[in-house]
Amino acid sequence: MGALFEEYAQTHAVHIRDQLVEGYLPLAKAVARRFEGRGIETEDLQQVASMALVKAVERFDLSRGFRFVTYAVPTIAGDVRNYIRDKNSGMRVPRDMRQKLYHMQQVREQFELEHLREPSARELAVAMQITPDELLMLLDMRQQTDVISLDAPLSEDHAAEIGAMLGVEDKGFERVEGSQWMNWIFSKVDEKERKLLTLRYGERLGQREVARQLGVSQMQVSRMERRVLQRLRAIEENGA
Amino acid sequence: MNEERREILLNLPADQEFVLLARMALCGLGMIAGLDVGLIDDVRAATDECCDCLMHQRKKATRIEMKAWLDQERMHCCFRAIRTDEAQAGEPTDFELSRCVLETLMPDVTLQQDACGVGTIGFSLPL
Repeated sequence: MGALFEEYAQTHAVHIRDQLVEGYLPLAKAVARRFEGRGIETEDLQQVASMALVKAVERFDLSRGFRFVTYAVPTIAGDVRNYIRDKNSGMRVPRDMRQKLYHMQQVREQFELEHLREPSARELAVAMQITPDELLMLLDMRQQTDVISLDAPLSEDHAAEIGAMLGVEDKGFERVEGSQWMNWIFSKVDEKERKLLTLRYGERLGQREVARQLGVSQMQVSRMERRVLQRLRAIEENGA
Repeated sequence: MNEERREILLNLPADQEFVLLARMALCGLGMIAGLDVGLIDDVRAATDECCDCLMHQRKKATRIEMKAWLDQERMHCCFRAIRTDEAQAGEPTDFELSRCVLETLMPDVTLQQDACGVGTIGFSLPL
């Protein structure tokens, strides 16, 4: 496929583009399938994904050194997500359910602020004064109303990052590089967070490698990193 | 619930609408294990991905068996596609994409393939 992309970059010939699109059609279908069960016909999802694939093929820049899949998955997923969002904008979530979802988000954020960690599901249920069953239903409902997507870039080691749930590289962390910053930061974080920051910004390892070393998932590393950053930012802004 | 090894077993039709049951059961087990809300979200997404992957293979699954258990340190889960000889040929999902999605969500993932496609997917996460 690499040779075809090179040829397409030089000629922009439609028949080469079509060959590339045809070759990657299973990828578009696979991405579309991840959005099934959200009230949109599968054929429609695949159609949108296929159109996004054409766009991705046309815009892909081989010279940047990334695999096409790395570029295409977030592009396709983003278009499908937007399509679902547009189609579902007229759908009504019952008001009491919306209120409960909103309340859940508030309680969760409050808990994180007070305990510097995410609540367990049980803790969240207790804090919301609902039963664990109700909480599970709510969490599931939230998943149905949200559009979980694959719109974040795939990392270079081919690990898929699922956009809505995954963090992105935060430019603010560049400040962590200065040693006085590091000392200040290390005084504000716990042992596990310190290890995370050391691996990520001292040893400059990717999230996947950090996850492997910490024995957790890449997703957890991403969330932990985001949480630490938010906290440090808040501390800094408050002048503490 | 097995006292020695706290374990649940679920045998479902390989149909999208039944994935809800797998998701709820596994998230319930995660709740019992004390997982945080973020991890429960990951378990939910991983369940969807496992079922989706197993339901879209060269030979279609008729049922999906889910086994999950807790030990002292980890929560384990295994999904297995059950196929019959007369199962129809399905459209295979992108194996690499499924693997990448799952490996992003979970720290310890295994996918086993045979001539019919991916037949078993397992993952575990620390408690």
